Amino acid sequence: MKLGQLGLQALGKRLRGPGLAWRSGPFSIRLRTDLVAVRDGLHFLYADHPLVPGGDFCDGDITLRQPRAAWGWRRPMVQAHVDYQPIFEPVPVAHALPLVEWLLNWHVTAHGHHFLTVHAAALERDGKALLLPAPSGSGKSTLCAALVHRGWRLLSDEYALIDFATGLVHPLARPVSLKNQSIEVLRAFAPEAVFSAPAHGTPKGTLAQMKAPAAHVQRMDEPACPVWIVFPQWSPGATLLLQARPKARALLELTRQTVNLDLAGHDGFARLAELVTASECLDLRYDMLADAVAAIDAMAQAIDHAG
Amino acid sequence: MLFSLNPQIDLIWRDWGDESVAMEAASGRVFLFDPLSSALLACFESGPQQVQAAVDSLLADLGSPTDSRLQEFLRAALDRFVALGWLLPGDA
Repeated sequence: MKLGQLGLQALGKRLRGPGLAWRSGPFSIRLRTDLVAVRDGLHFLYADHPLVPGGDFCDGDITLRQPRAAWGWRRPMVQAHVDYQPIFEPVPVAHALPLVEWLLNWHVTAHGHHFLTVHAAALERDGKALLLPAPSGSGKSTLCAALVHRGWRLLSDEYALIDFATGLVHPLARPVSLKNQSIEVLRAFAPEAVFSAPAHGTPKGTLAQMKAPAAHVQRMDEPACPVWIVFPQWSPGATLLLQARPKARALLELTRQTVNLDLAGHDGFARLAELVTASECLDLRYDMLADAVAAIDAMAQAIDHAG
Repeated sequence: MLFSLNPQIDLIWRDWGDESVAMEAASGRVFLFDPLSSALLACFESGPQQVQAAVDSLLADLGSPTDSRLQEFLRAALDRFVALGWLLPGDA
């Protein structure tokens, strides 16, 4: 059963009671809250995600509650608990939906050590995966969202999960988080894209989540083999450039973006080195989103023609 | 002066032609090295070495035994390895 098949009333009852449990790729989460905005946001953004049957094990338990104590806050606040322990500072209730996404990201990085977790967007086309490793602010989420609307399947916008044994990238197929001017840039690029209501005044500015296409969510259990590693850097006024990156420098940057490499040790390093050896590694500098998408499409078509 | 590889350092290397990447297991830190620096460290894998002997041997292999710039470069690389704790003075 999918989350969206529950009516809002039934959804709210689960959230207020035993918890709402759903799965994104290899991770399942149970959430409890009485916040209507979260209920409505989940019903919208995660409508196509499978529910986890009641009582089944979940990887994490999240609770969002408004604190009882008068903390002197000027706005209504919400406190998150993970596995019944408080986590993060309270945030305004208006930021509760982005908070859910931050918590899901935190959960992946804190507990997902059965994968190599790379701070990268990941997409797939014709069975071949593209990784976009980059620090925050490089434009990877915006580029990822754009590629999703140009024939690429969304695997993840924030963390690429690489299987230690196989080297395959496993999807999360979660909403793509965009911020500030990227929201309008993407709306203009892909008018068909569907967004949550924006949350203003977060530490990252204005945030909105772009719903993952239903067809991509349905394929969340289909990993893909990485073929391209592209390091994107958006820069205003930059001339479009897509050029080969030396393998050693690609590996160096990939290790910097791997959040659990210290835990993975030599095995993790060896797996990343194999990934770099087997993939085409490139740097991408761009200003206009359409140019970047066209360059990546051309890159993918070149390998298609090469067979 | 005699230097040795720190026995507590556990390195894994990957080489691509003109550059190498090494990960130090305990810290999880990853480093990029040029071929000369990698070759200099490799001199110490067989056992403790006198610094100048290692440098001279490498320069001889390169066919540039008296190149002062290369000498300086290798000395700087050595200082880097010592600062990282990968090379220790004496017979470790």
